[in-house]
Amino acid sequence: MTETAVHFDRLRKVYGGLFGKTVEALRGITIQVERGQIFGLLGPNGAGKTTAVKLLLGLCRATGGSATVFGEPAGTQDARRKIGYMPERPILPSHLSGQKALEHFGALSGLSRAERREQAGKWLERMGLGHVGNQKVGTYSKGMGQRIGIAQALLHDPPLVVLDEPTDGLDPVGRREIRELLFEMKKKGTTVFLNSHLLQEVEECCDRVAILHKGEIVRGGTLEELLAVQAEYQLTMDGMTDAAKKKLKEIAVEVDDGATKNELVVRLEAESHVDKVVDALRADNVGIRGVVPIRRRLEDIFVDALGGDTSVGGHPAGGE
Amino acid sequence: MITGFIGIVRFRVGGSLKGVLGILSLIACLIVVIMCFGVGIDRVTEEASGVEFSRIRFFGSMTIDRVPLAITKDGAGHDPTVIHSWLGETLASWICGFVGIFIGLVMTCNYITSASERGSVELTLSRPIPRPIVVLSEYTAGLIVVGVLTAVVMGGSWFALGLRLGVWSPGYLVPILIVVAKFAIVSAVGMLFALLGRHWALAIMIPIGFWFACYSVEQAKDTFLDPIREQVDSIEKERGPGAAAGVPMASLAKGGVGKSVDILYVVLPKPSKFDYLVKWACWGRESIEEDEALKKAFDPANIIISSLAWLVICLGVCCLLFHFREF
Repeated sequence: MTETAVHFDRLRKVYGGLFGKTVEALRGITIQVERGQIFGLLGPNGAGKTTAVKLLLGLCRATGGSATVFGEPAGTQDARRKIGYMPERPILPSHLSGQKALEHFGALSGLSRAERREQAGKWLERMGLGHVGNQKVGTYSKGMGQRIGIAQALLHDPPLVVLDEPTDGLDPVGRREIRELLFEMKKKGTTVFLNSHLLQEVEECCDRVAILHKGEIVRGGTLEELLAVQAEYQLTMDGMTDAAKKKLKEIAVEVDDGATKNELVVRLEAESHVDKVVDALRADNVGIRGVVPIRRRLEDIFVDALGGDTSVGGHPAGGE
Repeated sequence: MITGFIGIVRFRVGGSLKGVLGILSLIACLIVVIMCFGVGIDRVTEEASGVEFSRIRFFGSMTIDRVPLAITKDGAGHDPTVIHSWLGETLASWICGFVGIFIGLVMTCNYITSASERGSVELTLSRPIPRPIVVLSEYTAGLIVVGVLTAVVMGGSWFALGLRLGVWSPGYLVPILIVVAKFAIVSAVGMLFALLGRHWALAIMIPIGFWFACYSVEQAKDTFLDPIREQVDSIEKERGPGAAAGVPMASLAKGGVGKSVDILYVVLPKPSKFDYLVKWACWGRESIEEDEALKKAFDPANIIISSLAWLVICLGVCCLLFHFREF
């Protein structure tokens, strides 16, 4: 039986009130993340992603609904014990060395002195910072700071890791390393709650995704569910005729013109209809040079989900 | 929880003492200590008045004049205990109790505001550490910073003067605790207002203003209202009720203003009484008992209770504010 790592049940958050303007940052969202999953929370600026994470960490209180972490109410000490968090722009202790900074965060997580030393050394090596472990964090580059930020979240080996834009400021190699780290964590059974703008990254890592817009979940599910909407193919032909094109329009849901007369994009009801397309073309003696399935990208889903509305929701917690 | 508490305290104390201001403060403290290694005493007679006093020399060149006469009873030599006590009181009341506390406020003013800063607060509060513990650890770190600086000055000078003058009075070291206690109230008030106003500068300005207000109330009572009341009481005792009507400000001292000042006096902390405590520690109990005015105004129980009450109230409100605050 799978265990629920994070559960938001009709979670609401309203900022302001009394005599000020109120902003409804979250409008009763429901999210369920199972243990061992990598979950991606997506959304444009001001969608309510930061508020959702803050509620998860207990940094602010819900107006309605509930949030739990492994069955514990979010924000309680027991719930926080199970979380490792990396904020979007962590302010790290610049006067401490990388090793000491991690030891400090280990102390805050309740690790013993020996554990702190061991874990700090281990994670410095793991994040490729072993050679600068004795240098002050203040001298680190942005990417190095980001790595320390990730290391401090993983130091106490939490079953749930919440990462806010973890690859921000990292070079392509660094990003790849973080992706590998995420897969490694997943393999170990750690749940990852990823808050990111980088759709490609989410697409490569996440098992489940939710798209948040103006405080509401507008699309959610596994990546397969989201991406497998319709079968779409790019056809490259030789000697295309109007009669063949007419036949295609009868078979396909939609036929779009390509860059040349011999290129078309067809959207079919099901993958099995490809055979009918090929048969129709061949019956008119049209040569087929290529049938390439078009895979929809998360970005397309994201833009679709927003319905062309790119206006910023905006609320006090939002900093995205 | 304890590991987290110690972690924050270590982090803050280390950060402050290793910072530019911390290093400069430690250097200044060490200079004071080094100067104590070169202490010498002269007996000087002022030509114009013929008054005798002592002069303290530091390494033969720098001098402090008009120090209480440090002559032994037989007049044959200097009494080093007088110089020892005088230096102890001066260092504790002025260098540590005034300059030191101001530097302490500057060094620690941003503790709670930076702990509430975005990017930092998440790193602390996402961990299993109760919010009141965060407040208390930030507060304790401030006390330790001031305690370390005071201990360097007082402990170092005690050692230096012990070697120079041969006096090893343990009372000299008690002001370390008194200065820390003084800072404890000031910084609790500062922390409360920094949390309320969400700005570090309030943690310096408000405590200074508050301390000044407390001092003013004390002075108003001790040096203005009480003498008038005494005068009024003695006249009325001699000549009967209403006989003191002509005494200037009598109605003010005995009326609503006087009563309000009395209430404030009881309720507020008493800055100058902390200096009496320092005097007591450095010179001994007799120094208070010999002086009638001091003896009358000195009430250790009230000093401790009113100070503790302020400390508990300010810290309690700080903990509640931080606990219920949304970040």
